[in-house]
Amino acid sequence: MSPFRRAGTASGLRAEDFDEIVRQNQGRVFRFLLSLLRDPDAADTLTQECFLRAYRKRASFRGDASISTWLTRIAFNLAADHGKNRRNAFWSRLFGRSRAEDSEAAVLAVADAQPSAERALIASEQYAAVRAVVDGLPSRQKAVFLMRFVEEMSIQEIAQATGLETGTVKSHLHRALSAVRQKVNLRSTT
Amino acid sequence: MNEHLNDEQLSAALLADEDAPIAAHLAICNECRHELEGIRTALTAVCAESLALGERPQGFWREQRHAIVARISAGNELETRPLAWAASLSIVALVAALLVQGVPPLPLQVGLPPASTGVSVAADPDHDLLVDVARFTRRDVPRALEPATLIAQELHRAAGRKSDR
Repeated sequence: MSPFRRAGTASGLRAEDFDEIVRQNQGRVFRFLLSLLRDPDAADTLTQECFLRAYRKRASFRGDASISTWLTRIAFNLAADHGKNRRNAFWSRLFGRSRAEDSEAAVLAVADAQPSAERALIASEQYAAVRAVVDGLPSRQKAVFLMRFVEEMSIQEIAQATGLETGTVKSHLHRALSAVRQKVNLRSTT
Repeated sequence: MNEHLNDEQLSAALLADEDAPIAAHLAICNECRHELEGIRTALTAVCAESLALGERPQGFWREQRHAIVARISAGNELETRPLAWAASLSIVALVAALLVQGVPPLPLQVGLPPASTGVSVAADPDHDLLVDVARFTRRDVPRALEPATLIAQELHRAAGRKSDR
């Protein structure tokens, strides 16, 4: 018997539906956490933790936001907690090299999608420059940026996922885009 | 709008906020349009990189689901285990209390229907209940007060002896 079916249905989110919820959202949650943390192992662990927490708190899901927004909120909070943990800094330094290799592989993957070598080079350079800017953003700003431009969430959805006011979300995005703009301008002038 | 777009206006254009003056300026200003396109291309690259980075084989997702299921199952067991323990402990405690109480056996003949009725005495729950009731009704005082009763009787007898003299 599925463990999802064992826990009853007297909740905001039916336990029976959970298997399908995991299937539909695990890729998105993992990608968001990986973009945010740049650590595949941590992203995997926190993705599992995200669904575990969602299952435990399914009774509190009121349906004000979509399930994916609700899961993003849980993932965002987990990532914030993860960032607070000092021990992670140690592991980050220890495994920094493997992450750099991952990023390099990702650049190649982006470049492969381009039709010409020149475009691949541009994509690679733009990626490196903008990625550096994005990685340098404060954690909350970075999360908001990724939600908007990678997960393509609306301002309202981001506000629900982060617990911020829509005005604050816009402010974060403006600041992040301003940093990206400066970087792109610097590159075009040099 | 003759000046070039500032950060806020450019962000508004990137966030697809509908703004007629910004759109009008972009329609006539190649520089701003070019800059906007440059930023859009950069954002597309970041998005593509993130999507590529998140790509995993089917086996990865399957294993991840299995891990989630296993952790939820473990959580369910942890939730139900304390209840099972509590139930077992209460049964043990109940049995222990009955044993410690050490109720002395009473004669079966307490004016109840004889065994000749055809009903087994040991197996008849009504009979057991009646035996219990008879046992408690025959007892004058609760067992805990029996010593006090004895003392009271002794005192009563002593008082009786004095009055006789």
